Amino acid sequence: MKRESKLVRCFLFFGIFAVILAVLSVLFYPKSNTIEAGVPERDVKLSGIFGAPENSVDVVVLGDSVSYTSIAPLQMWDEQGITSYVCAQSGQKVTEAYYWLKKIYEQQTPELLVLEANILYNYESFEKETNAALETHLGYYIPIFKYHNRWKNLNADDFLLKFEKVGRDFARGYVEKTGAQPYSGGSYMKQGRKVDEIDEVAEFYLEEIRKLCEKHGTTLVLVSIPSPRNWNYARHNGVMAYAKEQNLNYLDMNLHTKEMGIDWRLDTLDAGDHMNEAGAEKVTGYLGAYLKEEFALEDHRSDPAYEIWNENADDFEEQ
Amino acid sequence: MAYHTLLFLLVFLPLVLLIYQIMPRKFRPAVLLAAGYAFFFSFSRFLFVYLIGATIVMYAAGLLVDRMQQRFKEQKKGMERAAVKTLKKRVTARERWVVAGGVVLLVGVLAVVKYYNFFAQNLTELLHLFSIEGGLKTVTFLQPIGISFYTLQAVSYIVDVYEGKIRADRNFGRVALYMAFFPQIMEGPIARYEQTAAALWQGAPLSYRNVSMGAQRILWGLFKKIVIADRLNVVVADIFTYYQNYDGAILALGAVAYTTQLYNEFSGCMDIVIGTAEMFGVTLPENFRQPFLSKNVSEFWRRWHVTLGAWLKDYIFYPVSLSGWVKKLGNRTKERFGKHGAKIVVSAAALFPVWLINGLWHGPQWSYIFFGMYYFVLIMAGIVFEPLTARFHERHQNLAAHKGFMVFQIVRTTILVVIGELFFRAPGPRQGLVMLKQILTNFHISALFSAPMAELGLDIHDAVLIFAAVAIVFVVGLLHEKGVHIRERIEKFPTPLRWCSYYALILGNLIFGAYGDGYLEVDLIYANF
Repeated sequence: MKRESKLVRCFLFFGIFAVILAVLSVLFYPKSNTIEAGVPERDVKLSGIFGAPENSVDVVVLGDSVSYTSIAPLQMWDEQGITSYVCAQSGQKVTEAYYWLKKIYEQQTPELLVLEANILYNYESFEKETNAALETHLGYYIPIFKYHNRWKNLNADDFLLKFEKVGRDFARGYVEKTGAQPYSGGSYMKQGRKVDEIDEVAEFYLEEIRKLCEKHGTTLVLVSIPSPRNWNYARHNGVMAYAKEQNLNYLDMNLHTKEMGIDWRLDTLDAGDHMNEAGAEKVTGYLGAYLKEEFALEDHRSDPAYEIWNENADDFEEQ
Repeated sequence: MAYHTLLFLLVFLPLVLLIYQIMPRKFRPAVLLAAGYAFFFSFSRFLFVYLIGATIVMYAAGLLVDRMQQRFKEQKKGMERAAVKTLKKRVTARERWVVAGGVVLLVGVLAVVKYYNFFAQNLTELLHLFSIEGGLKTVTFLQPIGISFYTLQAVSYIVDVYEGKIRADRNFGRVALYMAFFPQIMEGPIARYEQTAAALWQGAPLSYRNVSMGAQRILWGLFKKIVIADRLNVVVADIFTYYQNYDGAILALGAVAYTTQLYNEFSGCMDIVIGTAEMFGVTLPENFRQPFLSKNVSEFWRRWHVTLGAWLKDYIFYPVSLSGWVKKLGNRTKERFGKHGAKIVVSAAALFPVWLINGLWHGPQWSYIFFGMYYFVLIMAGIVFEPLTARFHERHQNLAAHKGFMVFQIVRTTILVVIGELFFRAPGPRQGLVMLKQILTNFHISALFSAPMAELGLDIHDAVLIFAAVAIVFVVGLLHEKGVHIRERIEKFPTPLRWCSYYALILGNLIFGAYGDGYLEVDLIYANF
């Protein structure tokens, strides 16, 4: 076979394959943001942001379960008049955060991106992180990689491509947790010089996030939510080193627990891993005040366009 | 970077193929060697010095032995027969010292990093039994992945040089590449020097046929690994962890599920490995030959993890059974108990170390030793009752060829293998016995359809998929057994049909693979042995 003919056949083979992947990706893509429609459970609350009116969110929070149990956007609205959305998932990796952010920018241009730093240390090994990054990358560009498991529940709507309007999450990504298991380990933020450096893969994608924010005019803010089980001073130093290098704001609330009034007997759900409802109220209050003051965000509470936020905040408070 | 990961399949392998192909032929072996070291370094970091060390030891020992052999050949010219005999004795003794030194160094490192703590813990416990304080302290050793595989390759090289099967290689690069060919490093197959070294060093250009045949085999292996084995992982892990909570029927299902998982995982990985090597024009030895069509456990072990079985046969079984003391033992037993008695004693003497090492090779755990001893007992029982079975077959001469009897033998062997795997996977021999007792005494088929089944982590779709996929693997196995080469046939299909087969293979993995959201990545089981 001639060389040219071989090349043509090769292009044809991969071309047909690309078309098949594109068609299957549309078919397998969930037609609404529910578990029943095939959205993975950990993505459901996050994907509610795609149901929000365009350019209506001031602050987007990326992070893991520490974030979605600690930051209540409706409380923040009530106190500061800031519209925020917690786009966190259990065990979110920085790679995932990056691709979610890319997707969020298709509809929103937040003024601030709050990145909860615990995800920078969700690390197993270089190979596993690189492999996970590759999987996320493919899932973003070729959705069938991410939604392949939908073969179990494909239905007529999928074949008819009946996409439903994405439903907004009432709590804007916040997951309220009741119950308290005290943390009794004492001080966990002993000042020291030890630095727990951010691994290469996480730092690479953190850089990508920073550049993406820069491109869209969003201010990136690094934040650490109080969590004795996950945080320590070496990690604080690791994040601080990066923040200084890139001239970013870094708020480590683990250093302000007294000021915030955190009571480790009452405010944690599971002995210092996550916050409970009471802890979340304190974290949200402190973070909201910090963001408003530091970045002079506009108060939309009296803006009629944001009336739904007032209504939802009232309902949230009643709950 | 396990072989089933995207990083390996979509980045590392294509990159190595590309660099290999664009390099001039003489540099291609160096590309493979660099790829092997990079691959090994990626998961073992500085522990790759172990691999380099093992390579240096085998290379040096091989050269020393070879030099002695060559010098002997020179010296014996013109010597009297008696003098040659004396010299031969002296040279052989010296060669043996070198071989022993090399083997002790190689196996010693393996023994220390892998088995020292097991030995120390058991010794300390034994001393405590006799109320003696002290014992050995445990030490944390970092164990490089693949050490159990490459150590056996290195030992076989030295012994083969000593036995004159091969000449020692002066080319260090070729020896190093034999040890560090990246598809083989994690899980074998355990190749002999004459099987792969020359082909690896040849630097043959990639061909369409090799690449497409290799890719087909990789996709087939991937299907076994990510569609079947990884999907079963959640069920197996749950049943073996919480075995006390389950009915005997569910435990039996767990044992079958684990056997299915292990076979598809290991043979699937071997398909990926062998397919990868095939892309470079290198034929690696097969590790599986339809083991679940075996009529007895001995045959099973000639079909399952073939290269380990062959290694144990060549480097443990034969040396022990042909050693002077075993021969003497055989002769004495023959005089007292006859031919069959001698066969039992000689077989026991030679098979015991084989099965002990087989068990221990998998790891420093009593369950693995128990697993080895289980097969030792089964095979010995076969030898002990050989006259009875021979007499039975004499009386029923047509039975052996009867299909129904063959199916019975296959089912019987499969049940014995599943029991063996139950002990292999159980946290310990005691727990294995508890599980077996539960299966034998508390077996209710209705339990399979009760609530706990649904809680095992598989839904009806998964169950149907597993059955269908296992059926496909079984049918493909039957066709292989009959000598049908499916890949060859696909290669001969007209282009549209051939391409459709490729797309089906790729999409089968892509859609039905147990990866991504909702699944945990399952590491290669044999890579940890």
